Amino acid sequence: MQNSILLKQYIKNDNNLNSVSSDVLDEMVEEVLIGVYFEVHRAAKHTKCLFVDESPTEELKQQIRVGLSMAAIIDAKGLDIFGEVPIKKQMECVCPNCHRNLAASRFAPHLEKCMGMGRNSSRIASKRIATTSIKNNDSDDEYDNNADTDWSVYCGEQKKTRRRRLKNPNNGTTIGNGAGVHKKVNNSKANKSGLNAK
Amino acid sequence: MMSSRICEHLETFKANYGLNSYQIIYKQFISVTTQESRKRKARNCICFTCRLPVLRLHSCLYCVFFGCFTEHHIHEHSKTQKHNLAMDLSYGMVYCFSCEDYMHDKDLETIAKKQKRRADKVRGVRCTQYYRWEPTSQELQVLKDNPQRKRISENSHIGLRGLINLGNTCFMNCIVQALTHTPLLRDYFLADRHVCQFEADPSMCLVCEMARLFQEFYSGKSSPHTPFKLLHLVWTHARHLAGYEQQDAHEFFIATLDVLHRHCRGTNGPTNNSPHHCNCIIDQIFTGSLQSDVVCQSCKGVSSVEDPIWDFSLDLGPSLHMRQQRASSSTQTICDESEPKSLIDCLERFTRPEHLGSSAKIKCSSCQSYQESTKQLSLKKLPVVASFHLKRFEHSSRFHKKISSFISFPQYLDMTPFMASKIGCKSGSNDSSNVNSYTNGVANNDNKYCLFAVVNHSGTIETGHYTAFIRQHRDQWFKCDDHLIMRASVQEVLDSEGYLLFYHKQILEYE
Repeated sequence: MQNSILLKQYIKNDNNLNSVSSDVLDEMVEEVLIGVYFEVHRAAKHTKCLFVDESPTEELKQQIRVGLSMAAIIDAKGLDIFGEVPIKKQMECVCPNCHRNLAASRFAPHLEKCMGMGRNSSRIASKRIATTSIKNNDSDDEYDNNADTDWSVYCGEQKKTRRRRLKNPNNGTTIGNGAGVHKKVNNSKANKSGLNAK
Repeated sequence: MMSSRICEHLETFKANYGLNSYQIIYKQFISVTTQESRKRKARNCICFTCRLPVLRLHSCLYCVFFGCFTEHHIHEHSKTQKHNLAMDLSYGMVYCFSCEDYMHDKDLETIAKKQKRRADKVRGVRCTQYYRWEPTSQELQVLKDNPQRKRISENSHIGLRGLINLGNTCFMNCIVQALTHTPLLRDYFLADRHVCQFEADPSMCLVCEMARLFQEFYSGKSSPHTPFKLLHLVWTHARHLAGYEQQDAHEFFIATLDVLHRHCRGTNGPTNNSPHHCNCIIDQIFTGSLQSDVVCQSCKGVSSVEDPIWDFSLDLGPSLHMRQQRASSSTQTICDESEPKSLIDCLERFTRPEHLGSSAKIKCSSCQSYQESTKQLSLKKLPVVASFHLKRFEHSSRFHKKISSFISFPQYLDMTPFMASKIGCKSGSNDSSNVNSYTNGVANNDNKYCLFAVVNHSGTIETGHYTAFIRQHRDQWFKCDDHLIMRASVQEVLDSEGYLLFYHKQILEYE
């Protein structure tokens, strides 16, 4: 208590105040510096044994250099960042449901029907069950094409009806290969047997 | 490898005396919090020999003795008493007089970290101390076994990849771009943090597929990726999505978050059964909450409810009030002010008190009768990633319409004015973290966000296309148009129409 009164008295003098402030600042800085020292000390001692790569070999440096140049963004007019010309890509993929090979750009509409989810799926399913024409798989196409037209509302264009023949109708596992299929389509093989039973 | 760095003297001490004395000294003199304890520390931290409050004071670990380092008073004590260990009272570093150096010990460091964190919390320091990553011995082995290194420079296209359109799936491609460029999500997956919960069939786990997606994006491949598996998985787990009216990017975003959240559950253990309160990475990043205050106009009683949200769906066009006015009046009231022109306008409208009208009376528990009331929404808990959905698509039974009016949105957004602590009715439990804008004289930057992704819809409802802008490498923007990735300027981004806007908190707290 006494000390604080003495201190207040002492620093009434400007010179004293300056020197006291300066001392306090010095102490604070020194304490922070000690903290930095400890960090460096620890890093030096501790992480030395954690070095995975010794100083990078020429081979590693070269590998990194090559990697960097190969992955560089291309900034050229008319090209995308990979240096490619912007054209439509023709890719293929395999449907995880029916395991058919098909063009990637037709995958979504195919999958929708394959999984029995489109709004026309139930209509098509019931029609199939009704007609039960196992031999004539061509009838698939008509219904498929009609269903294609309005499958998406926000993107793409609503195309007019298109006539298109499926290349390989043999493993036709589009929707309607079993009873109540618009709810669940699991395995194409199982569905096939279902159809035959009908 | 660490064995050469271990101090046998310290090991012996720990074996004989345990860690208690270290912890006590640390708590009493280093991680002090209260004013009383600080006063006590100031009074007691004096060198026993020179009786001065000098720097680099050390406490003997064996007995009660404080000695300064500079004048070697602690060294003298050590020699005379044969106490070979002392700890520095500024940082808790232990000096071994036999080894003649400061020795670092994992157990002691754990105690120090824990106490420091505890003290920080008490003092209201919100950000946890950041510690540099150090590999474990297993991680070290992995690094050694796999010598190939990939460096991602600022000019690298690693992390960027085009996506093939699978037949009008641009809506999905844009959401994938936004998610793969969500920093925290990227860090989670690249750090391999996902543990699959699908015991029966891991190939059906959407989170695993997400992890694979990140691997594809960071593979360095320049050919576009075909996300057919992702589409199949999302549709398998969110059947309501496919069909006539469901190709909306926003719907896809919410459905994807939901499936990811469901598939994550169990990884971190759900805290309760509420769908948005588990501790999965999706909830950690995207879940915020809204406070909804209903004020009875008769007794002014407030009824507050907190609802979890993943995004903010904002109305555009004239407000309900305006529309009612226009409908009732014969003359056309030109009232442009009611239509929002910016994201801030939208948020202001979102959080404006709304008079519920005589046709929508609420049963007031205090009045025990149906009364007119006002309802106001405000932000209670801010998500790490704030997603804004500008409701541009109007659905009515007869037609679909798109609102294409320009809504400006900023690069940096401060959510403070919309917070429950600012405009909401104060509930009983006061969350001290959000009360003041200023803590310790420093502006609370906790509510500040930075734009990192924008999804745009171009065209009309019948003929339209989705594209996305994403931010990479801190301030570089790229336009993603299915398989085409092109560089973009920030101005291009801000001038775009904007349908889905993704903002990331600027300051991240490490928990």
